[in-house]
Amino acid sequence: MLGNSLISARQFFILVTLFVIGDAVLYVPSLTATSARQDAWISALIGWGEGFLLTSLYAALSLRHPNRTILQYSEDILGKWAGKAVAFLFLSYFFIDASLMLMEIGDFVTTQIMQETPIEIILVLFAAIIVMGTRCGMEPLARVSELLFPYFLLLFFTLIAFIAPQIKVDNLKPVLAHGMAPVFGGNFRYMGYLLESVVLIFLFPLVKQPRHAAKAYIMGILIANFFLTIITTVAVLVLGPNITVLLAYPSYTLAQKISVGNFFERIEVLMAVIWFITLFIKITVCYYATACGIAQTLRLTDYRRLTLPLAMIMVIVALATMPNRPYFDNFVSEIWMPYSLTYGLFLPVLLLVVGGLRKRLGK
Amino acid sequence: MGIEPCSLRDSKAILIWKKSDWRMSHNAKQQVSFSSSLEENMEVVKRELGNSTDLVTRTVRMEAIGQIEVGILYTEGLVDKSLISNFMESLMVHAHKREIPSDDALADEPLSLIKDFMLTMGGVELLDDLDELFNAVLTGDTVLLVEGCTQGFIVNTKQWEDRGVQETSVQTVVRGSREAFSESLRTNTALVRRRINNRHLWLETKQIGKMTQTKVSVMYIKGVADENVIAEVQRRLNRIDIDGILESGNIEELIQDAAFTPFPTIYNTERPDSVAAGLLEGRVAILVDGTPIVLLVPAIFVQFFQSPEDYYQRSDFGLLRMLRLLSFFIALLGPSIYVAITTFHQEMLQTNLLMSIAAQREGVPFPAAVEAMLMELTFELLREAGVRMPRAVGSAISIVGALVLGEAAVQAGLVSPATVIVVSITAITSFVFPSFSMSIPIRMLRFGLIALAASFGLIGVFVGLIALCLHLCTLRSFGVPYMSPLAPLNLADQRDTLLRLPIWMMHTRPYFLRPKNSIREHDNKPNPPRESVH
Repeated sequence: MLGNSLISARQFFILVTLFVIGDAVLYVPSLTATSARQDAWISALIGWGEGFLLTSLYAALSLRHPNRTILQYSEDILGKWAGKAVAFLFLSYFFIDASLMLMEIGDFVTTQIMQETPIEIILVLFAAIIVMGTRCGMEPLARVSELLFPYFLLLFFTLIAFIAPQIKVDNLKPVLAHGMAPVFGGNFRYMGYLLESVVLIFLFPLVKQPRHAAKAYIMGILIANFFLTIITTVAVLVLGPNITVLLAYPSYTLAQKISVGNFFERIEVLMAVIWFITLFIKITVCYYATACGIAQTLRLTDYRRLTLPLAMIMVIVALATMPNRPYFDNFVSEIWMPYSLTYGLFLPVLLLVVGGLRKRLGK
Repeated sequence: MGIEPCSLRDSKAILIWKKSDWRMSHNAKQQVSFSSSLEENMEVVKRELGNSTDLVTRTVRMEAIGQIEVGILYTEGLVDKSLISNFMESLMVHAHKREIPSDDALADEPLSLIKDFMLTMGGVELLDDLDELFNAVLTGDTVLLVEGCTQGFIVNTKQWEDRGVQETSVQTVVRGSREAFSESLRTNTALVRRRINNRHLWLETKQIGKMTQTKVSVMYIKGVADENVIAEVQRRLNRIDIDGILESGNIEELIQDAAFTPFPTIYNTERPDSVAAGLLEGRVAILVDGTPIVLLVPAIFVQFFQSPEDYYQRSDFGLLRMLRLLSFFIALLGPSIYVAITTFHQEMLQTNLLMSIAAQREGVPFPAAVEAMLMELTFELLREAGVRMPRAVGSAISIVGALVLGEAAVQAGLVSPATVIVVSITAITSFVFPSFSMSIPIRMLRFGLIALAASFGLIGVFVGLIALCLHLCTLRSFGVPYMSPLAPLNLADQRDTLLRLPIWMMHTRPYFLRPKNSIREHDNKPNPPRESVH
């Protein structure tokens, strides 16, 4: 079903990193700062530990079921019907995640870059390359992520280096003025993004050496946390907590503020390539997991036939789930984290525990 | 193969001969044997060749061996004249001298007599069917038939006019060999052999094309090249079933991995040193008779940005590869980024620059995209005309190109000077690549990217680039991913990818080619004495 395409541990590492950075690089600064204010960076730092624990959980679960996807072993563990139900819950999560992120791109482009272009056109344009990427299969997609990773690094560090002169350390003070409670409030939303990395568990059986894959999974989420912590800290350092909270896309505003030698100005469109790269990888992985997972659960021979009709549904779902911006902001900050918690923590723990019990009782 | 005894007393063999069948069905090999009558054989050959006027036939009566008649056939123009005259001389001399032991036992075997005493040439083969005869005569060998025998001889006398080894005309270098391949397969294989004197350099030849019977040679170093690649090359060549092969481009199209891609997945070169370097790395060369262009597989993307000179100059010269990569991006993206920025993202430009571009474009009637497309199209036309036109009218085209299209178009207010500059830079950068086959996809894709830029700005360009990346990452060349060693990444191979490190640091052959023997050298680091001699 998944084909014989295999990816290396290094490719998996890059996929995990780009996936977790994904859309978080755009939203995390303002989401964490909403509650934690100038301590947003501490919220992000806590995420390192959470990321480590979560991916350790996913890796442990995957290592117990080598060469099987999460949809397959949930059937093994929970029985045919309960297992299929869980599989479809996961599939719905993958699909809704992909649709939401597609909408995020559309919203970002039509509000920030090209205000007069209808959002549908942008959605279809991006859906087209996502379908193309999915149809190519995971092996070429892993290679593309490998190819794009250096450009991501180059642009990210250019952004940080060029904005560095405008850093004001005073923006971080006072540290922990209101205690740890608001910091955990910020971390609550940050964790919503980390939980999405459960989608990558679907790719785990594709990696050549499972032992190395587990390490790549954990390292990938830590490196992604590193980038997210940096962008959150720099956003607060440059813009100050008050403005960071107000902005929809603080990272984009950071890029707008770049001014080097009165010549490198307003290069935010080039900087937008940073999250176009990460979002493309993230959506395509989610979409691949959906298409492949449906084919696997329904025992179809080829997932490629699903890609085109699913893309049409994805564009419609994207338009339907987000009627307006305040609705979406509310959804992301209040609902997304508990919703993700079901799939990112509850179901994997359930599978691990039930699987362990069954094994023990079976003996 | 021994020589069959035959004599004048043999009964006449019946000529089994299906007319005009043999040429078309090369694969179904039916043996067509000779009659024992020389006259009949000669007639059949003449008739089958339509009495073509370049066929030379000659009969000699051999007094020395019992008055046997001997027939000689060759095609004029394909044979070495001096060899032929030597050959005739030795036959004539023996025809009248009775120096040969002529007891009855030997007289029964005129074939062995002729072979042992009269043929002074090196390459002599026994011939026993008509297919072979035609093949020999039409490729420049001389055929000798004997009265009363159903066998004959092929004497190797091939020699025809060729261009000889000349200077490279396409892939030129400042430092390095000037020799280029020529049209003759034998000359080309010799050029490679002169560079690699090793018994492991193996050469396999087959004839492809039912009509043309073109010789195609596969060359590789046994024990270095990947056996799977060699087998795959053989397999793909064997399944070619076509009437004619006229150039290695025909072979390339028939054996390439992806049929529908603008990118070349097989490398081609006219330089023997490039082929030798490829063979040493573990690649397989395919040489085709009649063309100076040799194919090299597997090919990867970055190979098309590498010039043989990168290895002949000192290693810092390898930095020029970055320049070529930069020009790849300019050639591909130059016009589309210009269109995107002037149409959608004016804020990216510095105010003064923006004012100046806006002032230039004030009187121009077209949108930036149309302007860029028009100029690009004009340039492509000029380039095509430059290749096709007779040399004598070259100056006319350059005058038209430089004056009318550049200067006059701007003065007439049809295009803005900024567009002319962008198009010219694009034009220059697209000539930078050492391999012409890489500039073709860039020229094509440029137009698509301009269209995307005109519709969606830089977002469109980004989407186009991602699609391009995806496409490049799905390509393979004989099992090797096209973007290797970048994706999948191999750190050891980075020593000779975007940069070239000093030769003493490149210990291994490229891993992506999966060479059987990956060690190139051991420690070769220059180790001069630390003190000065004086």
